[in-house]
Amino acid sequence: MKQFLVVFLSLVVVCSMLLTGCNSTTTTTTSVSTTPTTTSTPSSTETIKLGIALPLSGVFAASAPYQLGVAQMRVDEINAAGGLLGKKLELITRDNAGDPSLMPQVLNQLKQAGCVTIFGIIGGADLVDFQWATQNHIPVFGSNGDNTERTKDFSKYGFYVGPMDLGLTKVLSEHLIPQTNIKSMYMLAGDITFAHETWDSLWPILTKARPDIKNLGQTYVGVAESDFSATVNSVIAKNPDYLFALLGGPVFPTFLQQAKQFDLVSQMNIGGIYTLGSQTTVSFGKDYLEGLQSIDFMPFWLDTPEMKAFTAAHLKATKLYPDNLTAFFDYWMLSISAAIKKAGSTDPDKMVAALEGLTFDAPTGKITVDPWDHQYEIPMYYSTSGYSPDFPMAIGLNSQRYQEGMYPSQAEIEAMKAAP
Amino acid sequence: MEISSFVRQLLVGISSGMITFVGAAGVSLVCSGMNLLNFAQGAFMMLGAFLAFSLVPILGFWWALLIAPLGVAAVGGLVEFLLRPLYRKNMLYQLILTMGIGFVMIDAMQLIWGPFIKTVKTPVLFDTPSIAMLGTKFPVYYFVIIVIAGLFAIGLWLMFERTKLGMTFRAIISDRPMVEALGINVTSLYSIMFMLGVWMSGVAGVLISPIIAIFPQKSMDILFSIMTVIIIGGLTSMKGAFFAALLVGIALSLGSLYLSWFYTLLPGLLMIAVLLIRPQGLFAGSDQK
Repeated sequence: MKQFLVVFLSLVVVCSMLLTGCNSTTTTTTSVSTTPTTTSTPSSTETIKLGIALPLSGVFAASAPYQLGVAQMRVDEINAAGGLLGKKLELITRDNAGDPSLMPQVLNQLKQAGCVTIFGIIGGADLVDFQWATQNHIPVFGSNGDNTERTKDFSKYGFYVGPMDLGLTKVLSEHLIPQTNIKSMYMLAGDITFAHETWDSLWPILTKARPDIKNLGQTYVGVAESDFSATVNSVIAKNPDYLFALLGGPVFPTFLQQAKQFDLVSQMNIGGIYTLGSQTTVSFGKDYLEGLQSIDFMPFWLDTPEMKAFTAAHLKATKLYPDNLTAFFDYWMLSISAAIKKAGSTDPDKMVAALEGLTFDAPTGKITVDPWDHQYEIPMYYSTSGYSPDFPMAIGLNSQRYQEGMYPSQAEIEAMKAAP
Repeated sequence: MEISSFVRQLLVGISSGMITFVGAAGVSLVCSGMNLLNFAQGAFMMLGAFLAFSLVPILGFWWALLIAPLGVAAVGGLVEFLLRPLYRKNMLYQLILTMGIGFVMIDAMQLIWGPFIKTVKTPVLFDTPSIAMLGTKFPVYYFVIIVIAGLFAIGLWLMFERTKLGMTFRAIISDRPMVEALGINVTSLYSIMFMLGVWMSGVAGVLISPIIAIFPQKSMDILFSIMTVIIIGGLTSMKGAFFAALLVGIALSLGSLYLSWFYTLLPGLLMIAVLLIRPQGLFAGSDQK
């Protein structure tokens, strides 16, 4: 009987793990009906394989359709136009479950699948990813790296398609310094290096220009924090004029739900990053907080022909409005296809050489890849949350675009490298 | 720090603790009566929140609060069938199985409701979302949580102390073989007990739904909170779960005000201290396991 129980239990646990893909990194097709299949149909001849490591399960699974959808859309567009170098493109995906510790394994699987380049966003895993990229000679793309990765630990094969803390700092300070009604600040952020570095670079600039601003402190929470009621009230108790909420993923909607309960936005100015991405706003419908100051990277609400065309195409392909993460994956797809064309090859060193200094067109305008630190100079949009009758969710009103002069020059990066 | 900040934070801690108690009471009940540690309790609570997401737009919040937990209990009844071979077996087997069931439920919720984050609108009482208190505003809904969870705790006590079902449950907890020998169908009562335990988590899930972002993976976060409270209060003590939940909720809440750098460590530190000093739990009797 005991043996039967052990076998029975083992079978149940194994079956449950197979069904759920618990801690598994096997290939998955996207389980979301609004997203196309993860791999375009390969032709009978060889394809150019592009790898994506993304959270198809886990805490950040809600972001996957916004990443995969645009990548598949671009692959389909390129294949419809004949592909690249006479070959079709093929997306290969692996589930990293939002867990940085799984990235080396996932990267190896994508390499074994024949991927010539890989995109994987996980906060805190970029250094590991780029070390892997150096060892394996495969260009790997991440979103936000910390400053040591661009300098002391620079990888020839690592590229950043997301925002940089130094650039964000410049935009934030430009907006905060003139707001003379702000005499005190508090920061609430996820406990990741990017958040710490953003604050560490922002605060000296603010205090230099505005010595009257007081720092009331910071609270760093886990990336999957779920109870902000106490934190929200402690912020209210401190009574800052400005709360900088640098929270990503499902954490921000949780914070917002509780911030709304305590009517936080009427008591202080609130600012953040990524807060107007549609994966956050769509769940709130008409109940989102208005008056949030936000930096975003995919302003689908912009009334430009390029953005309107892109938003329409994305809606048609995925039934979703674009999110901030959509922008990063779009930049990756646009740049890597341009680089492969320019290089005339998928040789990694030739692709890297083609990417360095590349300028390409995106729905948000022209974007250049800085050769000295492999940072994509992506535009940033500073907006205030509100509503328009044209969209079913909150959008950014009075958006101001920042790009030129927001990123460190080659001399500044060299100075950072030389610094002790 | 002003007295109003302290009082507000205390109320937040109490409401947070009360929700955790409602979920944890279900685990305590099942553990004390069935010697079964249900590691799927967090998933059942999120199921309650997801059902609230679906039902609130159609029926309104209060009907959802009545119906959604019944749906959770129904699922619990099906799950209980899977657990029957493990009754009276080593708790480790049950732990592994309920954990596996929890993971299956998490992915099932993702398949059914999709991966996107969900939110539920807060019900508005007395035509106002907040009341003035000590020179500041406090959300009415948090008082609602405290009142409903408080009534729940009283109802649970009355059920156990004043009803035939409660008396039978207490008898099973004390001496199951004797109850069986008296000809009472303990298997059916086990089903009711388990369903009651997960019904409680369904109630907690609906209560918490307007103040969180609803996504399946939050189940594990909730499970850790519940288990921390159970260990501090005592695995089989519902009274212990009540006081431990309040202790943890208030500690976290006041900690975020006065110890903002490391307040999230407090529940873990409390748990470690209890395990070292009184491993059976702060409020468990000396004869309790």
